[in-house]
Amino acid sequence: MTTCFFRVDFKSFSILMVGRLLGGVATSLLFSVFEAWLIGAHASAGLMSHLGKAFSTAQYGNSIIAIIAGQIANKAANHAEFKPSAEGSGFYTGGYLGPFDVSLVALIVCGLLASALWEENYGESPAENDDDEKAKSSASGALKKAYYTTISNPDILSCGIISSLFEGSMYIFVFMWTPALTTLSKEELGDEFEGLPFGVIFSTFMVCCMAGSSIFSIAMEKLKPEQLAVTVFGVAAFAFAMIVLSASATSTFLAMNLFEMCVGMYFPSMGTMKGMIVPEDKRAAIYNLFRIPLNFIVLFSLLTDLTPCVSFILCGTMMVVATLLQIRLRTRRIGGGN
Amino acid sequence: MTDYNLIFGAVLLFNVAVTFRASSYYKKYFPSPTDATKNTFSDETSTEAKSSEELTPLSGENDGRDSFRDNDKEKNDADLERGGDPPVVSTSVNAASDNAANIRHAQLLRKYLIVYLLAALSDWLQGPYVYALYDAYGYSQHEIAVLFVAGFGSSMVFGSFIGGMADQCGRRKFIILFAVIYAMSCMTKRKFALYSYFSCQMCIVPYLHVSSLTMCHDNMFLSCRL
Repeated sequence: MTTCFFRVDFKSFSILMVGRLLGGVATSLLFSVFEAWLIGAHASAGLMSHLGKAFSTAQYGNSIIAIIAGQIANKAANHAEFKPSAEGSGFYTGGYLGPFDVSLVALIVCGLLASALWEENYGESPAENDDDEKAKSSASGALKKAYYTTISNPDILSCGIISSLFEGSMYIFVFMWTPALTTLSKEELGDEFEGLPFGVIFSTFMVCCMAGSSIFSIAMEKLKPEQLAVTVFGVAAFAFAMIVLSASATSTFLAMNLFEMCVGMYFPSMGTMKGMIVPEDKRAAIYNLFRIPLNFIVLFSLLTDLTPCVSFILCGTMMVVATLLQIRLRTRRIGGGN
Repeated sequence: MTDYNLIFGAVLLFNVAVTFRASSYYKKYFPSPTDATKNTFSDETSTEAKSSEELTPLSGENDGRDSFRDNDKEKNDADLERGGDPPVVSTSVNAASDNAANIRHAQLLRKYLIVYLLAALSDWLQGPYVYALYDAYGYSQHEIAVLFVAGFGSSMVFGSFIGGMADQCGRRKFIILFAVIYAMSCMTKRKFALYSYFSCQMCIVPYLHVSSLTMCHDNMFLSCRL
Protein backbone atom coordinates (compact mmCIF):
# COMPACT_ATOMS: atom_id res chain seq x y z
CA MET A 1 0.00 0.00 0.00
CA THR A 2 2.69 2.47 1.02
CA THR A 3 4.56 1.72 -2.20
CA CYS A 4 1.53 2.69 -4.26
CA PHE A 5 0.98 5.75 -2.14
CA PHE A 6 4.43 7.12 -2.90
CA ARG A 7 4.59 6.08 -6.53
CA VAL A 8 1.60 8.18 -7.44
CA ASP A 9 2.67 11.03 -5.18
CA PHE A 10 4.22 13.33 -7.75
CA LYS A 11 4.58 16.28 -5.37
CA SER A 12 6.77 14.41 -2.87
CA PHE A 13 8.99 13.32 -5.73
CA SER A 14 9.42 16.99 -6.67
CA ILE A 15 10.52 17.79 -3.12
CA LEU A 16 13.09 15.01 -3.22
CA MET A 17 14.19 16.44 -6.56
CA VAL A 18 14.63 19.92 -5.07
CA GLY A 19 16.68 18.36 -2.28
CA ARG A 20 18.81 16.60 -4.85
CA LEU A 21 19.41 19.78 -6.87
CA LEU A 22 20.36 21.66 -3.69
CA GLY A 23 22.69 18.79 -2.82
CA GLY A 24 24.35 19.18 -6.23
CA VAL A 25 24.92 22.90 -5.63
CA ALA A 26 26.35 22.11 -2.18
CA THR A 27 28.80 19.50 -3.48
CA SER A 28 30.05 21.85 -6.19
CA LEU A 29 30.68 24.42 -3.43
CA LEU A 30 32.40 21.76 -1.31
CA PHE A 31 34.81 20.91 -4.12
CA SER A 32 35.75 24.46 -5.11
CA VAL A 33 35.29 27.10 -2.41
CA PHE A 34 37.04 25.39 0.52
CA GLU A 35 40.17 24.96 -1.57
CA ALA A 36 39.95 28.56 -2.79
CA TRP A 37 39.63 29.87 0.78
CA LEU A 38 42.64 27.83 1.88
CA ILE A 39 44.78 29.21 -0.94
CA GLY A 40 43.56 32.76 -0.24
CA ALA A 41 44.30 32.44 3.48
CA HIS A 42 47.80 31.15 2.72
CA ALA A 43 48.45 33.99 0.31
CA SER A 44 47.32 36.71 2.72
CA ALA A 45 49.37 35.20 5.58
CA GLY A 46 52.45 34.93 3.35
CA LEU A 47 52.59 31.16 3.82
CA MET A 48 52.35 30.02 0.18
CA SER A 49 55.37 27.73 0.61
CA HIS A 50 53.36 25.69 3.14
CA LEU A 51 50.42 25.13 0.77
CA GLY A 52 51.50 21.66 -0.39
CA LYS A 53 51.65 20.41 3.18
CA ALA A 54 48.18 21.87 3.88
CA PHE A 55 46.69 20.09 0.85
CA SER A 56 48.23 16.74 1.67
CA THR A 57 47.07 16.97 5.31
CA ALA A 58 43.55 17.88 4.20
CA GLN A 59 43.52 15.01 1.69
CA TYR A 60 44.71 12.56 4.35
CA GLY A 61 42.13 13.82 6.85
CA ASN A 62 39.42 13.52 4.22
CA SER A 63 40.18 9.81 3.61
CA ILE A 64 40.08 9.06 7.32
CA ILE A 65 36.87 11.05 7.80
CA ALA A 66 35.25 9.08 4.95
CA ILE A 67 36.05 5.82 6.74
CA ILE A 68 34.75 7.10 10.09
CA ALA A 69 31.63 8.59 8.45
CA GLY A 70 30.62 5.18 7.10
CA GLN A 71 30.80 3.69 10.58
CA ILE A 72 28.86 6.60 12.14
CA ALA A 73 26.22 6.40 9.40
CA ASN A 74 25.81 2.70 10.08
CA LYS A 75 25.28 3.32 13.80
CA ALA A 76 22.83 6.15 13.08
CA ALA A 77 20.85 4.01 10.64
CA ASN A 78 20.52 1.16 13.15
CA HIS A 79 19.68 3.48 16.02
CA ALA A 80 15.92 3.41 15.49
CA GLU A 81 13.62 1.39 13.29
CA PHE A 82 12.56 2.92 9.98
CA LYS A 83 8.80 3.12 10.10
CA PRO A 84 5.84 5.41 9.56
CA SER A 85 4.93 7.13 12.81
CA ALA A 86 1.31 6.02 12.40
CA GLU A 87 -0.29 3.29 10.30
CA GLY A 88 -0.57 4.47 6.70
CA SER A 89 0.92 7.89 7.34
CA GLY A 90 3.77 9.31 5.30
CA PHE A 91 5.76 10.60 8.27
CA TYR A 92 8.78 8.36 8.60
CA THR A 93 11.22 8.37 11.48
CA GLY A 94 14.51 6.69 12.30
CA GLY A 95 16.24 4.11 10.14
CA TYR A 96 17.91 5.40 7.00
CA LEU A 97 17.01 8.98 7.98
CA GLY A 98 19.42 8.73 10.93
CA PRO A 99 22.61 9.49 8.93
CA PHE A 100 20.92 12.55 7.37
CA ASP A 101 20.06 13.90 10.82
CA VAL A 102 23.66 13.47 12.00
CA SER A 103 24.78 15.17 8.79
CA LEU A 104 22.42 18.08 9.49
CA VAL A 105 23.98 18.58 12.94
CA ALA A 106 27.50 18.43 11.46
CA LEU A 107 26.52 21.07 8.88
CA ILE A 108 25.09 23.45 11.47
CA VAL A 109 28.29 23.18 13.55
CA CYS A 110 30.37 23.60 10.37
CA GLY A 111 28.52 26.79 9.40
CA LEU A 112 28.79 28.25 12.91
CA LEU A 113 32.51 27.45 13.19
CA ALA A 114 33.21 28.92 9.75
CA SER A 115 31.52 32.18 10.70
CA ALA A 116 33.29 32.26 14.09
CA LEU A 117 36.82 31.17 13.17
CA TRP A 118 37.42 32.16 9.57
CA GLU A 119 38.09 35.57 8.15
CA GLU A 120 36.64 36.57 4.80
CA ASN A 121 38.80 36.38 1.71
CA TYR A 122 38.23 37.22 -1.92
CA GLY A 123 39.52 36.13 -5.29
CA GLU A 124 41.32 38.10 -7.95
CA SER A 125 41.56 41.89 -8.14
CA PRO A 126 39.16 43.92 -10.36
CA ALA A 127 41.72 44.13 -13.18
CA GLU A 128 41.88 40.37 -13.38
CA ASN A 129 38.10 40.30 -13.22
CA ASP A 130 37.92 42.10 -16.53
CA ASP A 131 40.18 39.48 -18.03
CA ASP A 132 37.96 36.83 -16.57
CA GLU A 133 34.89 38.34 -18.16
CA LYS A 134 36.65 38.55 -21.48
CA ALA A 135 37.58 34.90 -21.11
CA LYS A 136 33.98 34.05 -20.30
CA SER A 137 32.64 35.89 -23.33
CA SER A 138 34.96 33.83 -25.50
CA ALA A 139 34.38 30.62 -23.57
CA SER A 140 33.03 28.93 -26.69
CA GLY A 141 36.14 30.09 -28.54
CA ALA A 142 38.35 28.60 -25.83
CA LEU A 143 36.39 25.34 -26.01
CA LYS A 144 36.81 25.30 -29.80
CA LYS A 145 40.58 25.82 -29.46
CA ALA A 146 40.70 23.11 -26.80
CA TYR A 147 38.79 20.82 -29.17
CA TYR A 148 41.28 21.31 -32.02
CA THR A 149 44.26 20.85 -29.68
CA THR A 150 42.74 17.64 -28.34
CA ILE A 151 41.84 16.26 -31.77
CA SER A 152 45.26 16.93 -33.23
CA ASN A 153 47.23 15.41 -30.33
CA PRO A 154 46.63 11.66 -29.88
CA ASP A 155 48.09 11.70 -26.33
CA ILE A 156 45.62 14.33 -25.10
CA LEU A 157 42.79 12.57 -26.94
CA SER A 158 43.47 9.20 -25.33
CA CYS A 159 43.88 10.85 -21.93
CA GLY A 160 40.40 12.38 -22.31
CA ILE A 161 38.75 9.18 -23.52
CA ILE A 162 40.38 7.10 -20.79
CA SER A 163 39.37 9.46 -17.99
CA SER A 164 35.78 9.62 -19.29
CA LEU A 165 35.61 5.82 -19.46
CA PHE A 166 37.00 5.34 -15.97
CA GLU A 167 35.06 8.10 -14.24
CA GLY A 168 31.90 7.03 -16.10
CA SER A 169 32.18 3.50 -14.76
CA MET A 170 32.92 4.98 -11.34
CA TYR A 171 29.60 6.87 -11.36
CA ILE A 172 27.77 3.76 -12.57
CA PHE A 173 29.38 1.86 -9.69
CA VAL A 174 28.39 4.54 -7.13
CA PHE A 175 24.79 4.13 -8.25
CA MET A 176 24.70 0.35 -8.70
CA TRP A 177 26.49 -1.10 -5.67
CA THR A 178 23.44 -0.77 -3.41
CA PRO A 179 20.90 -2.57 -5.64
CA ALA A 180 23.50 -5.17 -6.74
CA LEU A 181 24.41 -6.21 -3.19
CA THR A 182 20.79 -6.02 -2.00
CA THR A 183 19.53 -8.29 -4.79
CA LEU A 184 22.27 -10.88 -4.16
CA SER A 185 21.74 -10.91 -0.39
CA LYS A 186 17.98 -11.22 -0.80
CA GLU A 187 18.49 -14.21 -3.08
CA GLU A 188 20.91 -15.83 -0.63
CA LEU A 189 18.99 -15.23 2.58
CA GLY A 190 15.40 -15.26 1.39
CA ASP A 191 13.06 -14.36 4.22
CA GLU A 192 15.89 -13.95 6.73
CA PHE A 193 17.14 -10.86 4.90
CA GLU A 194 17.06 -7.90 7.25
CA GLY A 195 18.81 -5.17 5.26
CA LEU A 196 22.52 -4.61 4.73
CA PRO A 197 24.99 -2.60 6.85
CA PHE A 198 25.45 0.00 4.08
CA GLY A 199 27.57 2.22 6.32
CA VAL A 200 30.12 -0.53 7.04
CA ILE A 201 30.17 -1.49 3.35
CA PHE A 202 30.79 2.12 2.33
CA SER A 203 33.44 2.48 4.99
CA THR A 204 35.23 -0.62 3.63
CA PHE A 205 35.18 0.93 0.14
CA MET A 206 36.78 4.08 1.54
CA VAL A 207 39.49 2.05 3.30
CA CYS A 208 40.28 0.39 -0.05
CA CYS A 209 40.37 3.73 -1.79
CA MET A 210 42.90 5.03 0.75
CA ALA A 211 44.97 1.85 0.41
CA GLY A 212 44.94 2.40 -3.36
CA SER A 213 46.46 5.87 -3.08
CA SER A 214 49.14 4.50 -0.72
CA ILE A 215 49.91 1.74 -3.24
CA PHE A 216 50.26 4.50 -5.86
CA SER A 217 52.95 6.27 -3.87
CA ILE A 218 54.83 3.00 -3.26
CA ALA A 219 54.62 2.09 -6.97
CA MET A 220 55.93 5.52 -7.99
CA GLU A 221 59.31 4.56 -6.48
CA LYS A 222 59.84 2.16 -9.39
CA LEU A 223 57.23 2.85 -12.08
CA LYS A 224 56.00 5.74 -14.21
CA PRO A 225 52.29 6.66 -13.93
CA GLU A 226 51.76 5.59 -17.58
CA GLN A 227 52.93 2.07 -16.68
CA LEU A 228 50.99 1.85 -13.44
CA ALA A 229 47.77 3.00 -15.14
CA VAL A 230 47.84 -0.04 -17.48
CA THR A 231 47.75 -2.30 -14.42
CA VAL A 232 45.06 -0.16 -12.76
CA PHE A 233 42.67 -0.43 -15.74
CA GLY A 234 43.47 -4.13 -16.25
CA VAL A 235 42.71 -4.91 -12.60
CA ALA A 236 39.52 -2.80 -12.78
CA ALA A 237 38.37 -4.81 -15.83
CA PHE A 238 39.12 -8.02 -13.92
CA ALA A 239 37.17 -6.71 -10.88
CA PHE A 240 34.08 -5.99 -13.02
CA ALA A 241 34.33 -9.45 -14.62
CA MET A 242 34.41 -10.93 -11.11
CA ILE A 243 31.37 -8.87 -10.04
CA VAL A 244 29.41 -10.07 -13.09
CA LEU A 245 30.41 -13.74 -12.79
CA SER A 246 30.33 -14.25 -9.03
CA ALA A 247 27.19 -15.73 -7.54
CA SER A 248 27.68 -14.93 -3.86
CA ALA A 249 27.44 -11.61 -2.06
CA THR A 250 30.85 -12.16 -0.42
CA SER A 251 32.83 -12.55 -3.64
CA THR A 252 30.94 -9.68 -5.28
CA PHE A 253 31.77 -7.47 -2.31
CA LEU A 254 35.45 -8.45 -2.46
CA ALA A 255 35.56 -7.66 -6.18
CA MET A 256 33.94 -4.27 -5.49
CA ASN A 257 36.68 -3.58 -2.96
CA LEU A 258 39.25 -4.41 -5.61
CA PHE A 259 37.65 -1.84 -7.92
CA GLU A 260 37.68 0.78 -5.14
CA MET A 261 41.41 0.16 -4.73
CA CYS A 262 41.78 0.92 -8.45
CA VAL A 263 39.84 4.16 -7.89
CA GLY A 264 42.34 5.10 -5.18
CA MET A 265 45.24 4.49 -7.60
CA TYR A 266 43.47 6.09 -10.57
CA PHE A 267 43.15 9.66 -9.28
CA PRO A 268 46.83 10.33 -8.51
CA SER A 269 47.99 8.47 -11.67
CA MET A 270 45.61 10.30 -13.99
CA GLY A 271 46.31 13.60 -12.22
CA THR A 272 50.04 13.19 -12.84
CA MET A 273 49.56 12.10 -16.47
CA LYS A 274 47.17 14.95 -17.28
CA GLY A 275 49.59 17.32 -15.58
CA MET A 276 52.36 16.25 -17.97
CA ILE A 277 50.35 15.80 -21.18
CA VAL A 278 47.83 18.68 -21.23
CA PRO A 279 49.35 22.09 -22.09
CA GLU A 280 49.11 24.58 -19.23
CA ASP A 281 47.53 27.47 -21.16
CA LYS A 282 44.49 25.41 -22.27
CA ARG A 283 44.24 23.20 -19.18
CA ALA A 284 40.86 24.37 -17.80
CA ALA A 285 39.17 24.33 -21.22
CA ILE A 286 40.49 20.85 -22.05
CA TYR A 287 39.42 19.46 -18.65
CA ASN A 288 35.92 20.86 -19.32
CA LEU A 289 35.96 19.20 -22.73
CA PHE A 290 36.83 15.85 -21.11
CA ARG A 291 33.64 16.12 -19.05
CA ILE A 292 31.32 16.08 -22.07
CA PRO A 293 31.70 12.37 -22.96
CA LEU A 294 31.60 11.59 -19.22
CA ASN A 295 28.20 13.27 -18.94
CA PHE A 296 26.90 11.25 -21.88
CA ILE A 297 28.12 7.96 -20.41
CA VAL A 298 26.45 8.73 -17.06
CA LEU A 299 23.17 9.92 -18.61
CA PHE A 300 22.92 6.99 -21.00
CA SER A 301 23.78 4.25 -18.54
CA LEU A 302 21.68 5.47 -15.63
CA LEU A 303 18.55 6.53 -17.50
CA THR A 304 18.18 3.48 -19.77
CA ASP A 305 17.16 1.24 -16.84
CA LEU A 306 19.97 -1.27 -17.25
CA THR A 307 20.01 -4.02 -14.65
CA PRO A 308 23.01 -4.00 -12.30
CA CYS A 309 24.45 -7.01 -14.15
CA VAL A 310 24.23 -5.38 -17.61
CA SER A 311 25.70 -2.11 -16.36
CA PHE A 312 28.64 -3.92 -14.76
CA ILE A 313 29.24 -5.71 -18.10
CA LEU A 314 29.24 -2.25 -19.71
CA CYS A 315 31.75 -1.02 -17.10
CA GLY A 316 33.98 -4.06 -17.69
CA THR A 317 33.95 -3.43 -21.45
CA MET A 318 34.81 0.23 -20.94
CA MET A 319 37.72 -0.83 -18.70
CA VAL A 320 39.06 -3.21 -21.39
CA VAL A 321 38.95 -0.35 -23.92
CA ALA A 322 40.67 1.93 -21.39
CA THR A 323 43.40 -0.69 -20.85
CA LEU A 324 44.07 -0.97 -24.61
CA LEU A 325 44.17 2.82 -25.04
CA GLN A 326 46.48 3.12 -22.03
CA ILE A 327 48.86 0.48 -23.48
CA ARG A 328 49.00 2.55 -26.68
CA LEU A 329 49.59 5.74 -24.67
CA ARG A 330 52.37 4.10 -22.66
CA THR A 331 54.06 2.81 -25.81
CA ARG A 332 53.90 6.24 -27.43
CA ARG A 333 55.34 8.02 -24.40
CA ILE A 334 57.85 5.53 -22.97
CA GLY A 335 58.32 2.95 -25.72
CA GLY A 336 57.44 -0.76 -25.68
CA GLY A 337 58.44 -3.39 -23.14
CA ASN A 338 58.24 -3.11 -19.36
CA MET B 1 26.05 -14.87 5.31
CA THR B 2 28.64 -12.27 4.49
CA ASP B 3 30.55 -10.99 7.49
CA TYR B 4 31.00 -7.34 6.52
CA ASN B 5 32.67 -6.38 9.80
CA LEU B 6 35.31 -9.08 9.37
CA ILE B 7 36.10 -7.92 5.81
CA PHE B 8 36.23 -4.32 7.03
CA GLY B 9 38.74 -5.28 9.73
CA ALA B 10 40.93 -7.23 7.32
CA VAL B 11 40.94 -4.46 4.73
CA LEU B 12 41.68 -1.89 7.43
CA LEU B 13 44.75 -3.85 8.59
CA PHE B 14 45.94 -4.11 4.99
CA ASN B 15 45.45 -0.37 4.57
CA VAL B 16 47.40 0.44 7.74
CA ALA B 17 50.30 -1.73 6.50
CA VAL B 18 50.32 -0.20 3.01
CA THR B 19 49.96 3.35 4.28
CA PHE B 20 52.82 2.82 6.71
CA ARG B 21 54.97 1.41 3.90
CA ALA B 22 54.21 4.49 1.79
CA SER B 23 54.86 6.97 4.61
CA SER B 24 58.08 8.73 5.50
CA TYR B 25 58.21 6.74 8.78
CA TYR B 26 58.98 3.57 6.85
CA LYS B 27 62.00 5.18 5.24
CA LYS B 28 63.14 6.43 8.63
CA TYR B 29 63.02 2.99 10.28
CA PHE B 30 63.92 0.73 7.33
CA PRO B 31 66.19 2.70 5.05
CA SER B 32 66.95 0.74 1.89
CA PRO B 33 70.66 0.49 1.01
CA THR B 34 70.37 2.86 -1.98
CA ASP B 35 68.36 5.37 0.06
CA ALA B 36 70.88 5.19 2.89
CA THR B 37 73.84 6.02 0.67
CA LYS B 38 71.84 8.79 -1.00
CA ASN B 39 70.90 10.25 2.37
CA THR B 40 74.38 10.26 3.85
CA PHE B 41 75.67 11.71 0.61
CA SER B 42 73.15 14.53 0.60
CA ASP B 43 73.77 15.11 4.33
CA GLU B 44 77.44 15.53 3.71
CA THR B 45 76.95 17.86 0.82
CA SER B 46 74.55 19.96 2.81
CA THR B 47 76.95 20.06 5.75
CA GLU B 48 79.70 21.13 3.42
CA ALA B 49 77.48 23.75 1.89
CA LYS B 50 76.65 25.04 5.34
CA SER B 51 80.25 25.04 6.45
CA SER B 52 81.39 26.87 3.35
CA GLU B 53 78.62 29.41 3.85
CA GLU B 54 78.93 29.98 7.55
CA LEU B 55 82.49 29.07 8.30
CA THR B 56 84.18 31.47 5.94
CA PRO B 57 84.51 34.28 8.44
CA LEU B 58 85.61 31.83 11.12
CA SER B 59 88.01 29.85 8.99
CA GLY B 60 90.98 28.57 10.90
CA GLU B 61 89.38 28.69 14.33
CA ASN B 62 88.33 25.07 14.33
CA ASP B 63 87.38 22.29 12.03
CA GLY B 64 83.71 23.16 12.26
CA ARG B 65 82.36 19.75 11.28
CA ASP B 66 81.73 18.57 14.83
CA SER B 67 80.08 21.75 16.04
CA PHE B 68 77.68 21.58 13.09
CA ARG B 69 76.50 18.19 14.22
CA ASP B 70 75.29 19.73 17.49
CA ASN B 71 71.87 21.25 17.71
CA ASP B 72 71.07 24.65 16.33
CA LYS B 73 70.85 26.47 19.63
CA GLU B 74 74.32 25.57 20.79
CA LYS B 75 75.71 26.41 17.41
CA ASN B 76 74.08 29.82 17.40
CA ASP B 77 75.26 30.54 20.94
CA ALA B 78 78.79 29.56 20.06
CA ASP B 79 78.69 31.68 16.94
CA LEU B 80 77.41 34.66 18.89
CA GLU B 81 80.25 34.29 21.40
CA ARG B 82 82.71 34.44 18.55
CA GLY B 83 81.47 37.85 17.59
CA GLY B 84 78.11 37.33 15.86
CA ASP B 85 79.14 37.66 12.22
CA PRO B 86 76.38 39.14 10.02
CA PRO B 87 75.70 36.04 7.88
CA VAL B 88 75.29 33.86 10.97
CA VAL B 89 72.89 36.32 12.57
CA SER B 90 70.81 36.46 9.41
CA THR B 91 70.52 32.67 9.28
CA SER B 92 69.42 32.52 12.90
CA VAL B 93 66.85 35.25 12.19
CA ASN B 94 65.69 33.19 9.22
CA ALA B 95 65.40 30.13 11.42
CA ALA B 96 63.36 32.08 13.96
CA SER B 97 61.02 33.47 11.30
CA ASP B 98 60.70 29.99 9.80
CA ASN B 99 59.69 28.73 13.21
CA ALA B 100 57.14 31.52 13.61
CA ALA B 101 55.77 30.77 10.14
CA ASN B 102 55.42 27.11 11.08
CA ILE B 103 53.45 28.01 14.19
CA ARG B 104 51.19 30.40 12.26
CA HIS B 105 50.68 27.73 9.63
CA ALA B 106 49.75 25.13 12.24
CA GLN B 107 47.12 27.54 13.61
CA LEU B 108 45.74 28.26 10.15
CA LEU B 109 45.67 24.57 9.30
CA ARG B 110 43.87 23.70 12.54
CA LYS B 111 41.11 26.20 11.95
CA TYR B 112 40.77 25.14 8.31
CA LEU B 113 40.68 21.43 9.05
CA ILE B 114 38.03 21.60 11.78
CA VAL B 115 35.58 23.29 9.39
CA TYR B 116 36.59 21.40 6.25
CA LEU B 117 36.49 17.99 7.89
CA LEU B 118 33.02 18.66 9.33
CA ALA B 119 31.85 19.58 5.83
CA ALA B 120 33.45 16.45 4.39
CA LEU B 121 31.91 14.37 7.20
CA SER B 122 28.42 15.66 6.40
CA ASP B 123 28.95 14.77 2.73
CA TRP B 124 30.30 11.27 3.38
CA LEU B 125 27.55 10.54 5.93
CA GLN B 126 24.89 10.85 3.23
CA GLY B 127 26.73 8.79 0.62
CA PRO B 128 25.96 5.26 1.80
CA TYR B 129 22.24 5.74 2.46
CA VAL B 130 20.90 7.92 -0.37
CA TYR B 131 19.95 4.98 -2.61
CA ALA B 132 18.78 2.92 0.35
CA LEU B 133 16.51 5.73 1.57
CA TYR B 134 14.87 6.34 -1.81
CA ASP B 135 14.48 2.59 -2.16
CA ALA B 136 12.84 2.38 1.26
CA TYR B 137 10.36 5.08 0.22
CA GLY B 138 9.35 2.70 -2.56
CA TYR B 139 10.77 4.41 -5.65
CA SER B 140 11.76 2.33 -8.66
CA GLN B 141 15.34 2.10 -9.95
CA HIS B 142 14.43 4.43 -12.81
CA GLU B 143 13.05 7.13 -10.49
CA ILE B 144 16.12 6.89 -8.26
CA ALA B 145 18.32 7.15 -11.38
CA VAL B 146 16.51 10.36 -12.37
CA LEU B 147 17.22 11.78 -8.90
CA PHE B 148 20.91 10.78 -9.08
CA VAL B 149 21.33 12.27 -12.55
CA ALA B 150 19.66 15.50 -11.35
CA GLY B 151 22.18 15.81 -8.53
CA PHE B 152 25.05 15.00 -10.89
CA GLY B 153 23.84 17.53 -13.46
CA SER B 154 23.24 20.27 -10.91
CA SER B 155 26.72 19.84 -9.48
CA MET B 156 28.23 19.94 -13.01
CA VAL B 157 26.32 23.09 -14.00
CA PHE B 158 26.89 25.02 -10.76
CA GLY B 159 30.45 23.78 -10.48
CA SER B 160 31.36 25.61 -13.69
CA PHE B 161 30.65 29.11 -12.32
CA ILE B 162 30.08 28.99 -8.57
CA GLY B 163 33.81 29.19 -7.81
CA GLY B 164 34.05 32.48 -9.70
CA MET B 165 31.02 33.86 -7.88
CA ALA B 166 32.59 32.95 -4.53
CA ASP B 167 35.83 34.70 -5.52
CA GLN B 168 33.91 37.93 -6.08
CA CYS B 169 31.44 37.84 -3.20
CA GLY B 170 33.62 36.32 -0.51
CA ARG B 171 34.50 32.71 0.04
CA ARG B 172 33.55 32.53 3.71
CA LYS B 173 30.02 33.67 2.88
CA PHE B 174 29.78 30.93 0.28
CA ILE B 175 30.97 28.34 2.76
CA ILE B 176 28.23 29.39 5.17
CA LEU B 177 25.87 29.27 2.19
CA PHE B 178 27.14 25.75 1.52
CA ALA B 179 26.19 24.70 5.06
CA VAL B 180 22.73 26.26 4.71
CA ILE B 181 22.02 24.73 1.28
CA TYR B 182 23.26 21.29 2.27
CA ALA B 183 21.28 21.44 5.53
CA MET B 184 18.17 22.23 3.49
CA SER B 185 18.97 19.32 1.21
CA CYS B 186 19.14 17.09 4.31
CA MET B 187 15.83 18.40 5.56
CA THR B 188 14.02 17.80 2.29
CA LYS B 189 14.78 14.12 2.78
CA ARG B 190 12.60 14.26 5.89
CA LYS B 191 10.27 17.19 5.20
CA PHE B 192 9.09 15.38 2.14
CA ALA B 193 7.56 12.77 4.41
CA LEU B 194 6.40 15.32 6.95
CA TYR B 195 4.53 17.47 4.49
CA SER B 196 2.92 14.63 2.66
CA TYR B 197 1.69 13.58 6.09
CA PHE B 198 -0.04 16.92 6.51
CA SER B 199 -0.97 16.68 2.82
CA CYS B 200 -0.21 20.28 1.99
CA GLN B 201 2.23 19.50 -0.79
CA MET B 202 0.65 22.19 -2.96
CA CYS B 203 2.52 24.97 -1.22
CA ILE B 204 5.79 23.37 -0.19
CA VAL B 205 7.51 23.03 -3.55
CA PRO B 206 7.18 26.68 -4.58
CA TYR B 207 7.98 27.67 -0.99
CA LEU B 208 11.27 25.78 -0.92
CA HIS B 209 12.16 26.98 -4.36
CA VAL B 210 11.46 30.63 -3.70
CA SER B 211 13.11 30.67 -0.30
CA SER B 212 16.31 29.13 -1.63
CA LEU B 213 16.38 31.58 -4.51
CA THR B 214 15.77 34.67 -2.39
CA MET B 215 18.30 33.50 0.13
CA CYS B 216 21.01 33.09 -2.50
CA HIS B 217 20.03 36.42 -3.97
CA ASP B 218 20.05 38.25 -0.64
CA ASN B 219 23.36 36.75 0.28
CA MET B 220 24.89 37.68 -3.06
CA PHE B 221 23.43 41.17 -2.85
CA LEU B 222 24.67 41.76 0.68
CA SER B 223 28.07 40.28 0.13
CA CYS B 224 28.66 42.15 -3.09
CA ARG B 225 27.79 45.43 -1.40
CA LEU B 226 29.90 44.86 1.71
